[in-house]
Amino acid sequence: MSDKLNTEQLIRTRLDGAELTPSPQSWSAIQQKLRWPQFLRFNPGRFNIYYAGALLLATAGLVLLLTGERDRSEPTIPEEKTNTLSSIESSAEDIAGELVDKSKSTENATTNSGMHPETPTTPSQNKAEPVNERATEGLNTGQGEEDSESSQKK
Amino acid sequence: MNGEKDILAGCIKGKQSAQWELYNRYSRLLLAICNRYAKSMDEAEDILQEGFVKIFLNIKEFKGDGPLLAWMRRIMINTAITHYHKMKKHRYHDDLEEVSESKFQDKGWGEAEFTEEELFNVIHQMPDGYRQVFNLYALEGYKHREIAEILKIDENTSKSQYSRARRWLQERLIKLKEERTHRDE
Repeated sequence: MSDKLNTEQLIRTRLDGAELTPSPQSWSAIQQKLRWPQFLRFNPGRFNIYYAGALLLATAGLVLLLTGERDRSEPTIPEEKTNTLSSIESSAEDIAGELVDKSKSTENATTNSGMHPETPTTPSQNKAEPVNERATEGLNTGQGEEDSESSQKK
Repeated sequence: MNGEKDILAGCIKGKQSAQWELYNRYSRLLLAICNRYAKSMDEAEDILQEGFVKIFLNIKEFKGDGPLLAWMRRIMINTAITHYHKMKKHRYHDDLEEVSESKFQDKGWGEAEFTEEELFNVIHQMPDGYRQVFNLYALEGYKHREIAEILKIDENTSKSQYSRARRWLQERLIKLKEERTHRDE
């Protein structure tokens, strides 16, 4: 009976040196789990976060350097000057537009009153016209009343 | 790349080919260890994967003062224990399984009486607490004081869990043998 084993001995002798084959997916799962922690650690033989950071810094530096050189080679007009130029341009356009409108209105006025279209007119004349008409109308009416009164007295 | 030193050096450099060599060389043996601490083969594979990740990330810490396999084995067992603590909340009721206290007599078994697969199946069916204590005491050679510290339990609990585990195992093996004789008849 000396070859008989108790429960612990049985388990120990049968299972201690036992081997089981892992599934084929096991290795790829390990590699997948390793990817991120390995990327976060510095290892001279592997691309990691430190190399990525250095690459990013180098790229940013290069971009800054190139844009700086371009700025130096192309003279630029200061912003204030460009603003004043554009404002001058826009005001000149406005004045030109106003002049065109006024010339059109004077043309209409001369054709209505029978005046020669070629006779030059000033803006003050154009504006004063309707006022004068009204004033003369009023005067005319006043004169008419006075005339009627004087005729009655007579 | 055949020598263990070359594999180790490659793993320290983070070479995937060296990692594969190490995995290919020891994964079968380590999976069997993980399987003793697990409730199923799937769980054992999860422990194995987690353990290998720890091995590859911490391989620089291996001083070479002992065999590499012993170091890797210790990592696997620690991983299995951590896994057990994580799963403990969900399996609390398992540890409450009743075991007959009387008439325990250590039975003698023939070495080839059970296959490895049968023994693994019996261990998978064991309540979690019993399985951890049994493995650590009977197979890894830890003392009850150390087991109490590792599993965060009382030393006396470790002792009682161990004796219950032995009874439980013996009862299951007797039942298994009876079932087999009935089948043969």
